[in-house]
Amino acid sequence: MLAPIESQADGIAVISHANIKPYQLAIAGFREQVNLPLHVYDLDNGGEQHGAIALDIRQQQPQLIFALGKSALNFTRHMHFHVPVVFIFVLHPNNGSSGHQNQPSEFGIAMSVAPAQQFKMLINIAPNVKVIGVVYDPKKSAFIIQQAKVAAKKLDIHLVAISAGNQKMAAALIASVMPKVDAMWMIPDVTVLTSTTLKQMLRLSLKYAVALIGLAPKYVRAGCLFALSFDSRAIGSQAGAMAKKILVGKKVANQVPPNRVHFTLNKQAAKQLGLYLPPSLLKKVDHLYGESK
Amino acid sequence: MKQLFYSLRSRIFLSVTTLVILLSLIFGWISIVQQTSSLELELIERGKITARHLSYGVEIGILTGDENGLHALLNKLLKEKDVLYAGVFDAKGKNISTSEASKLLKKHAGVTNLLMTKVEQPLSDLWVKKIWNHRDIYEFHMPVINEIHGSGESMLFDGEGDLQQQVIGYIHIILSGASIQHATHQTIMNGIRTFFIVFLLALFAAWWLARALTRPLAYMVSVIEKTQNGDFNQRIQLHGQNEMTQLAMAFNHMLEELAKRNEKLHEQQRTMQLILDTAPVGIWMLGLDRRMIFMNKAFSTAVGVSEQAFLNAKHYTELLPKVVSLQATQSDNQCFAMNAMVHSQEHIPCSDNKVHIFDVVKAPLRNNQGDMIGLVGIAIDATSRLQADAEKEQMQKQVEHTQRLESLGVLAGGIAHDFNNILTSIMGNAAMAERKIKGVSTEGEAYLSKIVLSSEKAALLCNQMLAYSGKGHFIVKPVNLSSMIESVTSLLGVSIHSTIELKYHLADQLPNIEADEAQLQQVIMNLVINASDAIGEDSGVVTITSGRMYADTAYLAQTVVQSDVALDAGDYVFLEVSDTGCGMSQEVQQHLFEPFFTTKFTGRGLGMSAVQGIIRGHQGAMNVYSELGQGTTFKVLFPASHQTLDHHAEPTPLSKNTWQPSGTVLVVDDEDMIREVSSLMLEDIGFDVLEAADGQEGIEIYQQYQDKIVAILLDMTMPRLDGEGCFRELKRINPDVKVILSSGYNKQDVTNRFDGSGLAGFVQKPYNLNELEKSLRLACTP
Repeated sequence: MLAPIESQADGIAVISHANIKPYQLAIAGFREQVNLPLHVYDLDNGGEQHGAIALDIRQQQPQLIFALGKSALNFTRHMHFHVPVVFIFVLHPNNGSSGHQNQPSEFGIAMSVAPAQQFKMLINIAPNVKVIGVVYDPKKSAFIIQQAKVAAKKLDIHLVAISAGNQKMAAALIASVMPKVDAMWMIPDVTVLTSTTLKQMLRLSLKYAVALIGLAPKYVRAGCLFALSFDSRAIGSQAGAMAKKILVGKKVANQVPPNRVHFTLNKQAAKQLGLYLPPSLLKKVDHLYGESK
Repeated sequence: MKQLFYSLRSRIFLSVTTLVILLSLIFGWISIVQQTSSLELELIERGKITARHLSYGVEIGILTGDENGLHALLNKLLKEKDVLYAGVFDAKGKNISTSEASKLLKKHAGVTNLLMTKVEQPLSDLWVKKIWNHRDIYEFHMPVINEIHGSGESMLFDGEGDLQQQVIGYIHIILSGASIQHATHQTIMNGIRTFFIVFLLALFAAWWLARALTRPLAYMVSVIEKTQNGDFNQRIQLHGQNEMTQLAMAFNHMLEELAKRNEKLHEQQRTMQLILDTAPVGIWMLGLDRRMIFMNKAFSTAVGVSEQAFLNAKHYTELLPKVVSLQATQSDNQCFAMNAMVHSQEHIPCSDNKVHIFDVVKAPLRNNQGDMIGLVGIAIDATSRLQADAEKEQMQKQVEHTQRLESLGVLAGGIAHDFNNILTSIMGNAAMAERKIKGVSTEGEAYLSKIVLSSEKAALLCNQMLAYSGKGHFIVKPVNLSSMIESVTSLLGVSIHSTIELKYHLADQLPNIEADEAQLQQVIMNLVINASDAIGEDSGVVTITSGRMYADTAYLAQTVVQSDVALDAGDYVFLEVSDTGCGMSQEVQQHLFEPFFTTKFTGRGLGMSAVQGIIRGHQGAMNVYSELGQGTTFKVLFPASHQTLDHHAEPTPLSKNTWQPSGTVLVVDDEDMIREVSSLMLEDIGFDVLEAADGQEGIEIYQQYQDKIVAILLDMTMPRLDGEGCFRELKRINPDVKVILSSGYNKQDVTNRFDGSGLAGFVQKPYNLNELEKSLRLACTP
């Protein structure tokens, strides 16, 4: 339970660690939902400024902190502001911090789309897919692989999940697994997914007609078949709605998936794979790549 | 050869050829440099692309340690153009794989030294190196980059994220520049071939261009040469609209103008030639070599040598007499030496065989720069002018001489007049004294007679002087010259020496002449006495001839004594007195008629002067022919008269017994001694006398004593009122008044002024008692 917000408290502190476009869109979406003043802090100005930012936030006594990215979330955890924190753009909230777990006053919106949702879309597009391969670093992606296995089982799909301890191993495993699967699932694992392995997967997907499930529109643009990704503005707006509920004392889940998914499809890749794209499917596509002009 | 080299055609040919060669070489060189540079850039660019492709291709091989795959990839790369070698290194710089040594690599000695076994310096980007020692070697190094996401989240963002670059290895490629060298070599060879073709084309083009440009010029030159030979009808015929045609049109226009000017020039030359030929002066031009350049017809005609002969002569003076030649050469030299105008007078024999005197002017002939290029000579025949000048001078002398003689005549007349007045007094007083002492003193009478005789001689001299001045006693009437000569024969006989024979050739039937007998006698006497004196005491002959002749104006004009008025041609009666005496020199002849000039010891020099005065007074003429030792002839001409001789005898003088002088005579004279002696003589004659000192007083006295005065003795020359004025006033008072004029001048001269006015008489000063009495008797006798 959260204590009601003091009347003298003033606005919401917005903390980010980079002034990039997704953050700006997300803040804009957040602002649409919240009518309180927002005090925006950028941690990217340098570590020596962090203390001054923390002091200012304390003096401001915000009712809530809106953290964008993992650095901003870790900053709130280190500074112990004792106000509810709503975070977005954090891939693994429970990883990477110095012993911090997801605090009771921390509420966030997951960055990735659930494996089951991705697999369902894959079957919609390529109904013949039976085997999906994935290479992952168990230190970073064990939880999502576990979710994926559950989802695959429900969908009667065989998930070939191979763990790799480093990049070199990942590259080798990708080369060995891709000839054996119908589709290759990319996960947000920095050990596995590099520019080199991306090129490797794209090259092998063409070679072995393997459908690639991308992480974001940029991978679809590079040659992956499709991607289900979040929408920055929508995820900001969703966070704003969550913050409003928290501020009025309503109960919210600690982490919820994004309620708006962005669907990107590469028509050229589908053609290479010999897939038929029905109009009903194409209607759902938010952005279509590979269309001949 | 030199002329050919400097000809316009050669110049155009050489210029165009040289230009084309130079341009070909420059463009060829630029082309080779550009091509070499372009090929090198292309090679480098190709090398960069190859390196990037290799870098991209070896990423997975390096990451997965697939040495076999890398080796195959590198060997495959060797098939690419110009690739000599390729190698792959891991992130630590250790060589993972290399290509096999290609055949091309083996050809490049020393290149193997460039093959790396280890990357010493980490690289962050593509590195290209050109090995200058091996101009055909290019090295390319490049890191193999693997990008990883710094945070897992960023891989989920579209286009954004914290990508980190990770060098996972390196590649090394060596490319050969042999293809550039080959291509350059090919380009040079092609360029040389092209150059030779262009060179040949340039030669042809230059030849064609030179020919095309100079052909019209050569044509124009040929036309100009014809024009130089005087053919101005030539025209340049060019077609088209180019500059040459415009030049030809301009040249044709110039030729037309030139033809017009040439025609005008010829016209001017013809005019000038005509002027020069018809000019009454000689004009010629000499060159510096003294050769005749030009000579006009006037001069060649004058000197009687053709113009062509002068023009052909090496030196024109060769054609002139030696004296003239020296003179001309001298003045030519002077003109050339002084470079200035020279005047001279040259005597040149001419075609009329006479030596003419020429005024010669020689002036320098100069060109536009003022340098002397010859001389211009102008010769004006001054012979006539000089003769005229001489004649004019002679005439002037004669005029001056005549004027001097006239002045002397006036002087002599004046002196004679005054002397006559004095002599009148002397003679009158002497006569009165002689009459008073007659019978009282014989000796006194003798003295008085001598006084009278001397006075008469003095009066004779005065008469001579008056005759010379033309104012002597002058009573003109028809006279027969032969008769006159005969009448004075007796006088002549006593006047000449007995040793001299007088011969007469007197013409009968001579026309009369209008003459004063006394003066005519004087002429005859003077000439005969002079002839006698010329013979002297030697024996000789004096011949007196009279005759009639026709004298034309030419004859009359060359006579030595002439009247003041021009004599008309016609019949003349002549008197010729010749002697066989000593003759006269030219000098004596020149002074023959000058008063007081005499060659005689006792002479007074008035004889011939009187003769001259008398002849002039009679409108006659005289010639003198004399030679020393041969004798002298005087020939005097008088105009023949148609008047016959006056045979009326003079009225017989009234006897003194029958004429009784009575009454009063008024003497009007400004000379006291004249009035005094006249009064004495008049009183002696038997008149009462009144005296007046001038005309005015005379009138006053006459008005007072008009009733008593029977005659008036009136002088001519007086103060206040002269004789003429007084006479007219007296006549106005009394038209019947008896006035006797008395004057030292001749009667004719005086009475002419009173002609028809009723003059009662005239008495010539000096007069004696008898002459006065005679005049009064004639005047007072009714």
